Amino acid sequence: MLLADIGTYLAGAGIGLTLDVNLFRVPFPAAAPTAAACLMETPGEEDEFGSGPSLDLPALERARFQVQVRDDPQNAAACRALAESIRQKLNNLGPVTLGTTVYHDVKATTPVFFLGPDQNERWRWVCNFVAMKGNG
Amino acid sequence: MKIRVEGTDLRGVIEGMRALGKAAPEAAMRILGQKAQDVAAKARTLCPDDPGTPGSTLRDSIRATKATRGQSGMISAAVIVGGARLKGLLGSRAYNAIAVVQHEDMTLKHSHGQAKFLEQPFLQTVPSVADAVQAALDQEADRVAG
Repeated sequence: MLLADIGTYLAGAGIGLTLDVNLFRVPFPAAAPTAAACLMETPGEEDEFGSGPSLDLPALERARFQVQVRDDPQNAAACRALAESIRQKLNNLGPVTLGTTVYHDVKATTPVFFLGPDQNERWRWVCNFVAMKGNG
Repeated sequence: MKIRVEGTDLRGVIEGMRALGKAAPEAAMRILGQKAQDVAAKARTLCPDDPGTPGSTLRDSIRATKATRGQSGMISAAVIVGGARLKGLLGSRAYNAIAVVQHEDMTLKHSHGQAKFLEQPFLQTVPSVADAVQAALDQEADRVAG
């Protein structure tokens, strides 16, 4: 699963993220701390198939996802720096096996950019990615 | 004379397009313009439109540009959300921020529409462009050949 694979990879990347503590694989849960990041799947592209039988699994998936990082405005610099660290850990990653899935490459499709405050006035930076991966 | 533009070999495509003269880029521009219109129409359908928000204003700002051909020969078309039209409708305060937030904020809940309302139809349309251009060039080649 994309978000489990990427989440586990980021939690082990040495940038201060811990799964389900300050890194979430869904939009921020209600109990998430102010300073936190989350991964969200976004619309991807159609799969590539080989010449296998009916309902054969795709040979290549082009999945897209977004990383959103939020924090109190007083910690804006650290928040943006974390978003940039996540981007550096993911941009041009691969080929690599995460979990049981081969990721041929992961690329950032945008720079880190400011998304503005959420409804609780926490500032947010985001970055979008595309992953070319095997089935899984 | 029979001219056929093949998509499997780049040199063949270039030679075929040269043989077609300006009819080839005009056909490609026509297709690209149609595809951009398709993306814009789908984006308008998917654009968030929540009560009390400038959703319909944002939707009304979505438009496809005409396909153009640059000096290098590159043909391009764009679909724009926000920009000058939204500025005219909403004023200059944060007009493009609204477009960015509505498109990129995956955590917003919408009563109608969704985030990525432009990116999704774009990604769905792109795979069909090459075949459509190929078909248009073939049609043009048949017309030229009489």
